[in-house]
Amino acid sequence: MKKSAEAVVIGGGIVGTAVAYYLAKKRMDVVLVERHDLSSGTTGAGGSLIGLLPTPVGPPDPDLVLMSWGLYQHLPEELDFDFELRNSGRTVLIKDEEALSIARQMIVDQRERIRESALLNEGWKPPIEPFILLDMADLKEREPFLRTDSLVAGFFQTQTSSLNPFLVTQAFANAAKRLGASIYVSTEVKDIRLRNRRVESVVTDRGDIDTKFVIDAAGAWSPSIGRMVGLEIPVFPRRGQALVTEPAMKIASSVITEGDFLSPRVSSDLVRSDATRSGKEWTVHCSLYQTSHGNCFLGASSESVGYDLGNDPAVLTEIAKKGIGFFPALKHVAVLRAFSGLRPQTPDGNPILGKVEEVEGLVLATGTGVAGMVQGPAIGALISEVVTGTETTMSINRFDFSRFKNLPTIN
Amino acid sequence: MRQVEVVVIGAGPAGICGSMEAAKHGAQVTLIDENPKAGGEIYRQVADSFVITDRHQLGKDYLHGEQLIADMKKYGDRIEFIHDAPVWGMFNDKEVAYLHSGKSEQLKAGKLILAEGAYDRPTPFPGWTIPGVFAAGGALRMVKTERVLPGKRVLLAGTGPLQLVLANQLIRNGAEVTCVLEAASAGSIARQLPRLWGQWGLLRDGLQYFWGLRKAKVPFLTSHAIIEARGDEEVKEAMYAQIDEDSKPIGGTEKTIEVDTICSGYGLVPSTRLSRLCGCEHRYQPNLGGWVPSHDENMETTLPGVFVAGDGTGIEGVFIAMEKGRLAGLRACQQLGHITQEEALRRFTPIFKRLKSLRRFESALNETFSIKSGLFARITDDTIICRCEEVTAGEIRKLVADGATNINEIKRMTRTGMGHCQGRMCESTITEMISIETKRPVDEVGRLTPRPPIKPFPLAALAGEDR
Repeated sequence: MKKSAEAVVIGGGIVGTAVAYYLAKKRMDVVLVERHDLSSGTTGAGGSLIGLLPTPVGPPDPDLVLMSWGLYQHLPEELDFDFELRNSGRTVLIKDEEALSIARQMIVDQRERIRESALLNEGWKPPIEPFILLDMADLKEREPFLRTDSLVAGFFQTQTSSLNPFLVTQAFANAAKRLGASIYVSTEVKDIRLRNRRVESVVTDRGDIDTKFVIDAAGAWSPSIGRMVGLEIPVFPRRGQALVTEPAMKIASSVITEGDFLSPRVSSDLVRSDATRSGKEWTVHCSLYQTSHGNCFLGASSESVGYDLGNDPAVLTEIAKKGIGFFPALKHVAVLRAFSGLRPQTPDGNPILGKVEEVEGLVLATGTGVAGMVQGPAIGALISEVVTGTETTMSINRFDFSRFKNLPTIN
Repeated sequence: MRQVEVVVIGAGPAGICGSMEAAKHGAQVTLIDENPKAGGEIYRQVADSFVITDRHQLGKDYLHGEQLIADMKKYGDRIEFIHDAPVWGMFNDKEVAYLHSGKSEQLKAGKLILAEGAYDRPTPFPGWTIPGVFAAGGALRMVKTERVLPGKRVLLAGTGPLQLVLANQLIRNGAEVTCVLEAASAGSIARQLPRLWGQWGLLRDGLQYFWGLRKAKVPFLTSHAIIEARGDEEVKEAMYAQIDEDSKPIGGTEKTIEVDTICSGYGLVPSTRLSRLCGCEHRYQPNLGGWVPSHDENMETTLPGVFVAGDGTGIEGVFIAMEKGRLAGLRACQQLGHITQEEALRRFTPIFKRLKSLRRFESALNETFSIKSGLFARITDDTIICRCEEVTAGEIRKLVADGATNINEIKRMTRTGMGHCQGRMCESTITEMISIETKRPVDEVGRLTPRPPIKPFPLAALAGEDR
């Protein structure tokens, strides 16, 4: 194992591997350490969709999402790796008039954002109609297996793609290695040594690495890295459970999402995190994504249970109920596996990116909440700019760690 | 949630004995099994719709099983037997989720005994996916309890006594057995014979099985293994060869024979889905069949109140399975306060004594009929390893050559282990292959992470709705 590097990235998920790649691309001597396997954390537990996730309360940040989207279009070629990126589009189901009017307004706002942001991405042309409002007839025609009794409308998001999270992480890692990066799995960071509040080295269970920069991309576990240097990072685990079924006939022609996140209250529940919330409160928002193999991913819950990655049969039952509620044809399809992941949520739902005042050399790249896969490549590129001292492609001031300075400390 | 004092999962010999021992000493027991009747694998009972005119045709094991199940019925008021009920998950502290009549149910156990049993070790070789290739245990089940012959002209290849039982059943029921290939050498078998001293019943059975082969003029070839199955839509012929002490095929000794059926029996693998799912520690013991749950001498795992028994704790045969079950049942009763420590010790002592004597023989069997790494040399690059996702050995070898070091990396890149069987058919082979190629011990190349459900079932049952 290497004894020194210019930058050490902690965490082998979508964010960590993207950071390692973009740093290696900038000719930095970079090492990535991952305590289990690449994408064995939250990245591998879901996150197979990318695209604008419209929510009335803001996050995920549209600029970050759009920048990522632009990068994603070129990544299969740039990384020379087919990670099954497929544009399927997404259908959001709207259940009541209030949600419908919120949706209408949101579509107008997002169109504006996209028009402004299009300038960011050279070579990326925004779709003519990123969002299409659907009436019941449209819905039934597009999704014949969808049960529409409880719905009033829908909208179709042309700009949503699915991909294979394991493969995209491997793609970034392989490309980073080709550019000279070193990737160490089954290697756990035990401590970070400082000298005069300056990063000096990273201590792992396989040896020490002297380094100038440490990038904390440990997702839900980034606070434990922060504590090694006396920093309290406000990232809280928000568990999501999901099911995967056996391959079934084509039941959905796009990704389907229950649109209850359109309600500000629900949306807030999804993207923010109240660390004092008890584990008993959980919600399930239906989402269905069918892979090219035919397997259906049925999600997903939102729960505060600390770092417990187990499954709860009551939650799984609710996920199954909702899934069958919208797609009765799923009744006879067998569940192969349940799994779970921990979304790294922050108090305001936005990620925490950039350098920190308190420790020189420490860079944070965490707190991506529901949108890790969505925002990953942009974060990777932006962090590589931060580390190398280049001007960032877009401003990341609003994601700065210092915004939490005046919050009461939550344990 | 319904609470039960002692829950036993798996109604094979170990589960039955565990239930009886617990009931005998005062506990209320719920025994759950996915099959319509108790008996597990070795004591599997035929369906009620069958009419049995001569029970002796079904073999000695069958009759033992019948008797054991009848004995268990005597505890009717203390042992509740829930059948046709696959357990699909375990949650929190000893909460068991199972399916019954198309719905998911749960109950909470005071003490839990897992008797998951074992299954045929999947041993890939070129052509093993052609229709007509069976696992020996599966073929035996077909003949004994489903009363169907797997084929007409059969070749058996494998190692250990199960093959002899199968060969005799096939011959008795009118199939033509062309030969039985045994991987162990004649010398290694002979060397273990002294350990059989005292086990007269087992010796007699063994001799009877050999005599059955002799009478039918079926060659028993030691130091031989099957190399390839051939045929387009079905098995047409088999190629076999002599093997060395490491089970590696010896070039130039290949022979082919026309057959329509191949029964491959290279031992059993302990079933550890549930014991892994609830978080018990496991250790790798190749002489016991692979990964097994760690437990103390009274069969308690690293989780307090969770016990294991039977072949799921290591392949040691039916008699040891029953003793393990008894130990677990007794210990659970003692922990529940139904018997005192002295009483428990009084009952443990004769069981330990019997185990010691039985183990002398079983360990001899396991040593002689162990799986050697040379068997993996017959796996060509185009041999399918993950049958569910049709991933070949070549794809796996390439990833290892490119730097993959553990099974989860292989899984993420190729989808091995993501199909219906969730790794039952491929995990042991893939970990062996990685171990061989990277020259690292098997217990360092990782295991697949168990998740519920441990067997697939329809969404409607999970949702609690009628289909």
